[in-house]
Amino acid sequence: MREVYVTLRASRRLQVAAMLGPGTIWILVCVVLPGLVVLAMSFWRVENYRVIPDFNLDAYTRILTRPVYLDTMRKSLGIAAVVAMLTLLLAIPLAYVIAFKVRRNRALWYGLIVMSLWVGYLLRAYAWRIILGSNGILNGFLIDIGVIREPLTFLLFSPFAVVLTLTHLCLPFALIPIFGAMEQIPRTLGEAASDLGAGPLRSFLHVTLPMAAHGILAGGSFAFILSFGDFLAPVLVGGPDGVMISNIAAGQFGAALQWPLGSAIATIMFVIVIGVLAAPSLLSRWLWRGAPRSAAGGAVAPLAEAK
Amino acid sequence: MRASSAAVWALGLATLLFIYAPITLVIIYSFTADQTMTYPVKGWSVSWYEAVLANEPLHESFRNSVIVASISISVALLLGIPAALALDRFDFPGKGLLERLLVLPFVLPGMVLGVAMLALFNLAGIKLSLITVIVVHSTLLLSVVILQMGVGLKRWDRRLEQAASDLGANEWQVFWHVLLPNLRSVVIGAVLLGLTFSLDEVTRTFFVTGVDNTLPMHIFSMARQRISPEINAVASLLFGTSLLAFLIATRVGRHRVAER
Repeated sequence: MREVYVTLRASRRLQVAAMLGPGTIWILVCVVLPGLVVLAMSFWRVENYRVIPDFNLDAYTRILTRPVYLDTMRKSLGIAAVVAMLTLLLAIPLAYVIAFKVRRNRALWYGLIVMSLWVGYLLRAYAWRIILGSNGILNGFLIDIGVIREPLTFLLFSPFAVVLTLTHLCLPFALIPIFGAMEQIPRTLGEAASDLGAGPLRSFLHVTLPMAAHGILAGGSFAFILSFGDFLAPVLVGGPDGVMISNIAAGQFGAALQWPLGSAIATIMFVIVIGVLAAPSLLSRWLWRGAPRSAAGGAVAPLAEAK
Repeated sequence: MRASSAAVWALGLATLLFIYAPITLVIIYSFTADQTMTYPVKGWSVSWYEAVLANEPLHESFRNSVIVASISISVALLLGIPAALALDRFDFPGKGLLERLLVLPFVLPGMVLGVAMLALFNLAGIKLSLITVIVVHSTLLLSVVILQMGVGLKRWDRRLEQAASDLGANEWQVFWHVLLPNLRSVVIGAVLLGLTFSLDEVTRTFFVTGVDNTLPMHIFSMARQRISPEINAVASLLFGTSLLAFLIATRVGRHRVAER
């Protein structure tokens, strides 16, 4: 963070407004206004296949009373939590290796992580589909080497496939802020810990982890948000059991023509996402008072740190 | 090397393998001769690349994507560069909130933004077409540009500007001769990442597409029906292009570091 800011004179104020105005107006029209439309529409009703302005809570009572909505919401939250944990479990060691163990070619290692962002999302989901299918590469390989005789069918079109694909998707997004946080930890702190008699594990748990906490929280919450609202992986690899809340919401805008219901689900998702976004900064402020804070602010850091 | 250290290395390397194995397999299987992709591979051919070259609807969707991506990135740069510069150099009340607002399209679940835009277009009586797709992509890329440039600008050494103005350059000259040339690599990075996002975007596009498909939407509908090595071939070509773009971006970035 830069500490020195230019103080604003009246002419400056005009300049700032001119620079920020157009972008802000664009976002207001294309994000905030549609958001308000969705919020309003969640209270409307459908009559003769037409959405009619009204005020009622039908959509919300329906979500609360029909198990399919609450169950899917719970399942999506569960999948998101599992994905976030798996992502951190994989990302923390790799970030640690790159930050502390790699001596030569650290830029190359880091470059490999960032470069994987350039592999499109669609491509990743498709890749898992050809790997996990019952005639897929993994089953073919396992049969060929004689580990199994019949193809494993739970691999594809299952929540397992969704979790695997989403973890794969979230990994680079989580790695980047975690590495960014670890990179800033002074080496001398680790040496001090070991001088004072701490073993590697103890110094990792008591020095590295707390110092990298803001990066870990940012990466974890971003992984959570990304997978909670995901729409593609369930369609491509999820099958009937892998359906997530986004798919249910999206379905309401299609042939079902239940726009108020879809809008109500989207509104609830929005509230959850904002809550998760706010959580890391609140949590880290509470847990690690005095530890360095994330500059870019919470979970938007991942991409910001990229490249 | 201690056992714990070896374990950390092994876990790290395994994770790197996990990241890259799927895309590697997609590329390998784009050269298979067979329709089904399994192990062991029966034979090799480039026939799927020939199929891609002959697939007219695919080409059309690619042309649409090029139009969408280039217009969207232009809009995003036009709105995003001044905004990112202003956020970088000035402090004002409500700045934190504004920063968060401007990156909302990137952070929000794609489906939420997609249906919200669909609802707005529907209410305003706007027909879905490539134009609505361009509006949605511009919104997403605006966030990407602001985020990317924010990072680039933070690394930028402000003393060079001070030096220039100490030597008598006015504000405009500083912008034109000092800031802009050095900004080039930051902007190129933002452009390339933005284009990649646009060429990969399905979740938001899905809700606001009219009759004309973009390339990722076309691939998505192909992949939904059945898997085919032809998709692998398209995917490999896309990845190759992205890789090239990434290498160019890092080259340009390195050049900038060397200049300092």
